[in-house]
Amino acid sequence: MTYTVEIYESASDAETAIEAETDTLEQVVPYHEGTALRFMVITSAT
Amino acid sequence: MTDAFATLIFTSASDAGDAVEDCPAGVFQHLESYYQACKQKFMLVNYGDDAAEIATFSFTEQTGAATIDSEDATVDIEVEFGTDVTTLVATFTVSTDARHAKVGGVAQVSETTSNDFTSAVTYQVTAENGTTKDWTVTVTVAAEA
Repeated sequence: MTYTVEIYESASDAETAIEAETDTLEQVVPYHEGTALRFMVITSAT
Repeated sequence: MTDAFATLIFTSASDAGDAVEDCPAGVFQHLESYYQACKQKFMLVNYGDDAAEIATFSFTEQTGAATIDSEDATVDIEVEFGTDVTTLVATFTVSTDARHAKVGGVAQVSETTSNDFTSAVTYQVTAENGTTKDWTVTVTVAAEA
């Protein structure tokens, strides 16, 4: 099993990616980059 | 071997992401972003074996077995008189589930990677759960017989 981390610059981009995801969604981590909001999407695959 | 939680703190999203992707199967538990003194940080929680030992360490040029001290995290070893210590290749093993050993950020491969042991060399061993242990490896050259 391997973990993959993808970073998205908007909630809608993260939402689209999650809905298209075929691997296991582990976690979504929102965070700031300066004043911008970012979303880290963590998935795992066997 | 003891399974234990480990909390690792990162100051950038890329470092935190790299650490998640470096996790062996089943080790990653949780990642959280938070603020401390107006600076964003990331706390990664892992669960897995916490052993980060150097179990064996040797050189073909050694004069005797290495002295491995887990408490002080040191390895002391003597090599034959005249040995060029600037390009020594070590044969070593680490804890069964440990991820890797690195010197200056370079992954070490037993019987392959050479290092300059003119002065003490720090081996950083990373346990399955992501905790690290820094080992100081000191090589001395035997006196001329």
